[in-house]
Amino acid sequence: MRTSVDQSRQVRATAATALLAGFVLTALIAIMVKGLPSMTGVLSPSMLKIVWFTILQSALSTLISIALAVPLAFFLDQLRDLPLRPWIIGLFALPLSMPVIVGVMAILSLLGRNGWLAELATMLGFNFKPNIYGLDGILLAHVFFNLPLAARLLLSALDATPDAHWKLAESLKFGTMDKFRTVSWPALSAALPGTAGLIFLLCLTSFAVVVILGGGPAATTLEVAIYHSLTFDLDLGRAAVLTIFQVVIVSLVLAAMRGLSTAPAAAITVIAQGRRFTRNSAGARVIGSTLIVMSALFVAAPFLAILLGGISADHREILGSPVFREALSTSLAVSFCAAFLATLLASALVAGTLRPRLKVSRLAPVFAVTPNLILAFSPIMLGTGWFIVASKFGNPFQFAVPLVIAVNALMALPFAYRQIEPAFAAAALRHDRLSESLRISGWTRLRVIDLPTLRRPLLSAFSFAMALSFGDLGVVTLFGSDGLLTLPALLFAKMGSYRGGDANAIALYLTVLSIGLVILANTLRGERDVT
Amino acid sequence: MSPKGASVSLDHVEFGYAETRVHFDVHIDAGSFVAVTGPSGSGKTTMLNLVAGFETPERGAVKIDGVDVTSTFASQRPVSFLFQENNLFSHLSVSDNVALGISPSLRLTGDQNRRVLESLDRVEMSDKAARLPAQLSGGERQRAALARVLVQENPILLMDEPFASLGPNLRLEMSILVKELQAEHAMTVLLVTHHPSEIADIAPLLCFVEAGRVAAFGPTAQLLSAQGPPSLRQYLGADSQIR
Repeated sequence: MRTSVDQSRQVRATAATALLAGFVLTALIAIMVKGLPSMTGVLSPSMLKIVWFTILQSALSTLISIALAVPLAFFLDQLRDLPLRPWIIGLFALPLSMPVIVGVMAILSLLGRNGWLAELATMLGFNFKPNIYGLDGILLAHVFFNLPLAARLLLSALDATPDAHWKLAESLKFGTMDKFRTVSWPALSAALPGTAGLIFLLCLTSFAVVVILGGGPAATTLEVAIYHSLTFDLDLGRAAVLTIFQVVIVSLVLAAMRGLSTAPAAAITVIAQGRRFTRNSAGARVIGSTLIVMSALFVAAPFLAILLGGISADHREILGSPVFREALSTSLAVSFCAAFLATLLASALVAGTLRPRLKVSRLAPVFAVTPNLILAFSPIMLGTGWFIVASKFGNPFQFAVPLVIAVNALMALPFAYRQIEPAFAAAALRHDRLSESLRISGWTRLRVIDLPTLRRPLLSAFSFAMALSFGDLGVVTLFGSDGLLTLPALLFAKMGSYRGGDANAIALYLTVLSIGLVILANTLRGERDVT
Repeated sequence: MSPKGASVSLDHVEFGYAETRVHFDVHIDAGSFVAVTGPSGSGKTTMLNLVAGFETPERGAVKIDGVDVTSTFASQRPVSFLFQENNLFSHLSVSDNVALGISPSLRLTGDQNRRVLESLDRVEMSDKAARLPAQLSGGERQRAALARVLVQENPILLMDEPFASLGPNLRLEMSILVKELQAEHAMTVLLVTHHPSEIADIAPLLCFVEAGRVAAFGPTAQLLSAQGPPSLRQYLGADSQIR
């Protein structure tokens, strides 16, 4: 038997799915219509070179990240008595919440031609001017962002190995390699395809890293080539063709991931506090500790660079600047609206998957998979489609604000969904029948039952979505104009104009605000009422 | 395959976890079969973990055959363990799971391979040697784990509710098998169980743990009789169940 509550949820979820499908399909159709007539000659050497480089850098970034993350996760799992271990695991969460452009800037300030490393070399009497533009720099930045992500995802998989296996390993006198091969590797290998697929996808659609560190046509990806076609070449047809390539490659990766059935868990939170009951040899401890400390330094160094660079900047001048104030208020307003929209859509989609009466809706799997499917479409891709649509109605820049909000909301949707889903499911199980029997429904139920109990998870999802949107430098670069300047876009401009001091300060504000929002989201989620 | 049992002593062993504290002072003779029972959270599993070396006492001593092993690592104690579940590694075949008891690297000599097959034969699993654990029933999985215990040739076997997830018939069947293996190899066995029938049928000795202490230890028949401690009779429920 279906109730009015079920029907209302179905309607909301269907409406949200239709809205999302409409938004994405409109962009795709616009790209197809614009791009298909230009399809002749698309297999030009320059085009194929871009496709090849996109795949190459994604594959290498994934390979390096995974190759380092496997032993790192294994030793983090094993060496549970290592001093500062919880702090190191926490540190590995920071790149996930750091705006990408800030991370890139930090890497440049450390390893750039005039970075700390070059200065240190000069002080020591060496003439060392590293060039990290091109493939090297892209790989370095991608590993900085994805090694911690991979390590946390794999650590989360290892965390699920049963205590009994570790006790057995000890009583069967397993050495470190035996433990890795017999206990850890099965858990790791099950999580690897999903983790690698996710990282490959993130690198494939990476924008800020490549646009800054690519350094020229030799190191350009599809995502950046689309941006260049739209902003510098004003060639909508070429942008459309590039986008079609992007859609095809992303679809193939997603199909492969689906075939492997190993989507990674939403391991934003890693507990890893259980026991292992095993000992490791002194040699294994030395190797493991060294790897963990080196990785921690690799991740911490850019944060240190941002902190030190930011502190020494002239904050009075920056804070007094009208451009900064405008960019800050625009960023806050845009990310607030995007977060609100993402949370609203996530709530509607989650509602369609709830099953208080065991008889789940046939559409529930569609509602559940919709947020993840959004990941297949990059902001630049969606922005391109809507840029084409908007140009039919005059100056596309006049639609910049609603389009940036919409695209940012979509990009934050999968994460907002994961933040609220468990709490909504638990609340439905607990309250649905009781509310029904007491005939509490509609607005009254929302006010008296749902909002008080789901307030924290909703705010958590909102904060997380706002953090993601706040630090995003994606679609805003397509629509960026004098009328729409966000903080990441301002930082991008300052980096280009060599205003180092200003850029350092802006990077610090971006980092502090983004990480603050993520910490707020995690705190709210940790203290939620329902789950 | 001829392990001989070893005695086990917990001499004024004290240990704490969360808000629970245990204090054990008990001696078990070599070759004994002891059923360890008591309410949930009373410290039964902790007792086994202390003997195995998975927990280290805060005070007191754990002795095996009179030798103080308190600071000896679990891997160096002559102890085999059988859990309620997850005794087998799911990606390894039954024979490989058994072979781990001889060599963690799974590099076995011809003789060692023969030992694996003999032990599988003993638990009537030789025809399922190539199967993966997922292709076995719950009882078969525990039989395979018992085969590994046999190749380990340790004098002490600790079992933490190993048959709890099995049906009554299988539980009885497995209990009989364990009893036979214990008799054949003269192992010292500590079996944690909540089932009065298992206690009465296969364990000549009974250790009743209550609130982190050994409340009663002695011959099963005596403790289960009318002269036994009332708290044990109350815990085990109706007298008819015991009979």
